[in-house]
Amino acid sequence: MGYEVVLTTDRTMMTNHHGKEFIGFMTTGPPIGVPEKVWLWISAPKVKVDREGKPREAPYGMRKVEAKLIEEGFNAAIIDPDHLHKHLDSMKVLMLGHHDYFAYGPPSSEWWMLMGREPVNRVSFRRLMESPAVRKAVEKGVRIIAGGPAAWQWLWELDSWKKWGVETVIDGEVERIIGGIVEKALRGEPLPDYIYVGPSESPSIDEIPVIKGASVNGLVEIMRGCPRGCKFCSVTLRPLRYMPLDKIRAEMEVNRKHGVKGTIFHSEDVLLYGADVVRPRPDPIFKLHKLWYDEAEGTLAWSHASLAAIKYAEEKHRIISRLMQDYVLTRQDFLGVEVGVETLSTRLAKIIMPAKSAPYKPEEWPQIVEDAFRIMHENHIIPAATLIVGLPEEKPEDLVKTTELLDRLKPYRSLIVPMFFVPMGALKHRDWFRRNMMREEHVELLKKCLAHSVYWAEEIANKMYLKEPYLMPVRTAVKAVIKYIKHKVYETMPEMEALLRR
Amino acid sequence: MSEHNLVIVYEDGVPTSILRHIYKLGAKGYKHFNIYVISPKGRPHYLEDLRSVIQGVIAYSLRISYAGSTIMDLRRIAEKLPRENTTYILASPSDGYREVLGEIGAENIVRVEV
Repeated sequence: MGYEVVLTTDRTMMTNHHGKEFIGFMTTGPPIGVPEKVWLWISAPKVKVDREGKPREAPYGMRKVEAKLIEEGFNAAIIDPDHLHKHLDSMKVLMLGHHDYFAYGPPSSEWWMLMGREPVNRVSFRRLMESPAVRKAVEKGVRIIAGGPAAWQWLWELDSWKKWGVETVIDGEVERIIGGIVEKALRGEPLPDYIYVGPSESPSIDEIPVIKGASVNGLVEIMRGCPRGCKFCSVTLRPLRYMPLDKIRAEMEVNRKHGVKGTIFHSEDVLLYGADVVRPRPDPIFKLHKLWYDEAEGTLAWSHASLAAIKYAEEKHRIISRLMQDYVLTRQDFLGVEVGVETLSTRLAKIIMPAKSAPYKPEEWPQIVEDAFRIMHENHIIPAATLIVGLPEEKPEDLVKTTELLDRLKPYRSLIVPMFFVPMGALKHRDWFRRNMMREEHVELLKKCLAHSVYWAEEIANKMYLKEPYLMPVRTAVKAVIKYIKHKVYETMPEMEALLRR
Repeated sequence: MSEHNLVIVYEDGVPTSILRHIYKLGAKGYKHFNIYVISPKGRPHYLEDLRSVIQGVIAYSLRISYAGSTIMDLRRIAEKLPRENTTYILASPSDGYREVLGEIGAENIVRVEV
């Protein structure tokens, strides 16, 4: 027996990254110092599957779509890309999801630009679409629908769209509409070429299903949307909704039942769960973390938090230190999270993200960043921080300011990764940051970030993130890659600088 | 849901001034646009010309479909769509398209410069 509606993605997404999701970022770059096969083994190993090819863990967004389709009565399942052939006889619709189909998102586009080679996520997705199973499916008339957070990228890959036989691309939250689309597809009715789901079609909490299969490394969303309104962000365009604890508990239970013990609380800002707009409130945050503490077996991570919320939460309510001491550090040595620094220029911050610093003033942004980094360091929270380079309103003095102020973050255990501007959110009509726009000031900033991150990466990989015995081969490989990057970059720095300035 | 149909007819390019018309309709309460495109480019390459329109819309839902390239194709789609709640945007110098819309009694016709 096979499935009529099959959801899949390529290996760089259908993986649990050895249980360490930050290693997944290696899939956004080309292989460095090792063959592609080894790079993929480090960053995107195969995931366990059952006899039908259903993966034990799958990307969370795809799990939501799968759950919605199952609830609406469709014979649907997520299938591992290596097992699609098992469902060719039954498959009528093939649905694709991805974070970064064509490596146009940050940081893929940046690594591609700097190194002049395609990142492995792009290569891997192409390999999937040109695989015998997918080609056979197209031959048999299977209708292909692509969605996910990177759906917009298909608008720049129209040749691939046509060549690979994709019928419809959907951008946005699909829970309310996907049943209708799939129903039409199964009936052989025509479908639109491109669908953009606007805010009026955003699903309510009740319309968002509980996942039916485990998510990668136990990710569960605790809220959708964000009130800050940063211009470069697409998520902030969505209405704000908090998931009730019962729904979160139910999804943690699904993960546990399928053998995934860890939990990642997913939100654009975990500390804004149940907040008073941008002011974190202790009660909802502690209830959420108590839920994890009482009912989950494994470790906890946060997907994202904002630096202003970290500072406010600790200074006003001691939320960070209490959470870490009373709950998190009783079970693990540290907590990983992504944070947005974006810029350390108050001038630029006021233009592109005036509410990022709220409830503080934008003028205080550099101090907020430093205070939050200190709070995280003192409480064993390890951030991977992003900077955005090449924003439309950026001036050289903004870059100089950011580079200078980065010195203040040197003492704090963290990775700082600059991302080249990719038009998204309210800025999606603006120009991409391209290599010929690179200036001296950009090069200096990139060098500073690299020095900081390479220094701390070694400590983090050795002593904290990959210290479990079973990860010894991965740790060895990652250490070797970091060493190679250090050596190669500093050796070729003069040449790279000349190239970038050309 | 408040839906409006837009039929965009063009030969050489799609001007972003189309966005003003979408925003005007949005201000009247429409939240969802079904866009049918008559273009010589074919599917899906016509979307390249629609990119700046797609990128300029964040507050409304869009369903974009290729509807053909000829005057006959325009007639075919126009005969299916309701007269009210449908706007035709002509970014094309050819009079044949306007004539066929006149023949079927289309009411909301906008000419835009490319």
